[in-house]
Amino acid sequence: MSTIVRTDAVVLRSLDYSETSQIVTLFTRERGIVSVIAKGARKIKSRFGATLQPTSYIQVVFYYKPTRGLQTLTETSHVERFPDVHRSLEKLVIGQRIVELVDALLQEEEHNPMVFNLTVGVLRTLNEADERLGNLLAYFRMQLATALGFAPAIRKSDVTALTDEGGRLDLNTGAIHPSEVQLPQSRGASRAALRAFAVIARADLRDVMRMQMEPRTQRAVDGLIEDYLRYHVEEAYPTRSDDVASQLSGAGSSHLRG
Amino acid sequence: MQFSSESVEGLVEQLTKLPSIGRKTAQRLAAFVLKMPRAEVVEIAEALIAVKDRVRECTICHNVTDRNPCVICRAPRRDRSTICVVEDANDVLAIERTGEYRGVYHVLGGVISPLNGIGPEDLRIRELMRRLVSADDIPDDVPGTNGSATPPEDVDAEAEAIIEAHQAAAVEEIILAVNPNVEGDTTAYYISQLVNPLEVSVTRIARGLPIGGDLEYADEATLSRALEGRGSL
Repeated sequence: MSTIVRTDAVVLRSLDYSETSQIVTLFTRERGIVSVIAKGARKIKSRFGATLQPTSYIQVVFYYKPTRGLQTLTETSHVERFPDVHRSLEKLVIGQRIVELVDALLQEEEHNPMVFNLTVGVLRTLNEADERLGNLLAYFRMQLATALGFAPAIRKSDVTALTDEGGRLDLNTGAIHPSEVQLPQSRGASRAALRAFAVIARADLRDVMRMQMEPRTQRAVDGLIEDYLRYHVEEAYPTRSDDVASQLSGAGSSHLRG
Repeated sequence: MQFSSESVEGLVEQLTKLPSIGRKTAQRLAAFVLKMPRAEVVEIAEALIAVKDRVRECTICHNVTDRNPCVICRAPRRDRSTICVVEDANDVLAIERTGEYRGVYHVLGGVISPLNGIGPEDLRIRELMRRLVSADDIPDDVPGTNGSATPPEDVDAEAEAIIEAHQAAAVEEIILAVNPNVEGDTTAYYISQLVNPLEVSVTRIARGLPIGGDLEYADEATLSRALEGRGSL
């Protein structure tokens, strides 16, 4: 027995299928990640228009049948457009990295309104922001870690106690320790990088976007966040867009590599 | 349901390797082949083998061709100062069908797709840069290889002269004819960032409403692009 579902969704990816159709992976507000078939989506006069591009925030209607792995999409419309995400190479790549992370780290049909709201909020900021786009990607990855149940256990006193020697990030708990502490699964970093890591983990998005970082600190923070995420999600951590971002970063886009 | 003949079953298996051909369609095609005159079947078989044996890549534009350079790159009346950059050989056919374009082409062999792990080094972007500047002037951070600076050995003197003429031609405009989607946008912005410092004009084909379409049914993103790209009458 199939039911008709109408829900908001973020498009995670689209894959061409047969002559004119597409298989689209949607992150829906009500049912988590759902794969749908959009028949005729590649036709010039398709009723789906530009709504099925990755990072689009849309309302979808589809027939849902629990026994089927692929649902049938019948209708789409934009809930909110993020046109500026498609007007710069940096924004395009960061947008795709955001949806790639969601696609890779969430289970199919895992209802997660917290991650849904986070994704929409970050895409909205990506559309509006003119600078510090690297901060945005770092914020998203840290908040995703929190939403998935492994928020770093950061104490303000540990951060303020850091000396010029720097310190160590415990990859298991996310706690920050002085550099002399020996930990089996940890990574050393400068005081600036660890403080930035703590701010990104605890502050709200507006404050994170105000944060100015030296390029060296930014790279160190990105490395800390990546190691922390990789430690917890292991093989599920997606690397495809990371590799492509490395190749693209030579074309004058310094923040592409996260 | 299987055919009682191993040969027919083998043909069905082979046909299912083609895109969009499922087992049922393959069975229908196999049944049709059984009814065809032998001469026609031989023609199809020979055409399939000829495609693999004779078709090569044009050294200049990377389009598919029987003769290197391809017929478009050989044509003296084509405008070599304008290069239309397309994703694959099918796009060359689509643009040629318009009968409006008189320049030459460059086939990238795909588009940049971070979600599928396809980056500039998987495409012929460095080869495009070589058509604009000498290999020594291409920035080191453009992924890919320079390829051979000399024409391939299997071309005659006439072809060599054509290849050299293309290399010597001053390119004035690059038209990016990539699909209007996220991958196309990513590719277009990447190429424009590389080409802009070279004082070569970079344009992109217009995006918007299809002829015969209805404004009422257009989505906001498409309509918005159509408004942005409006032209005077």
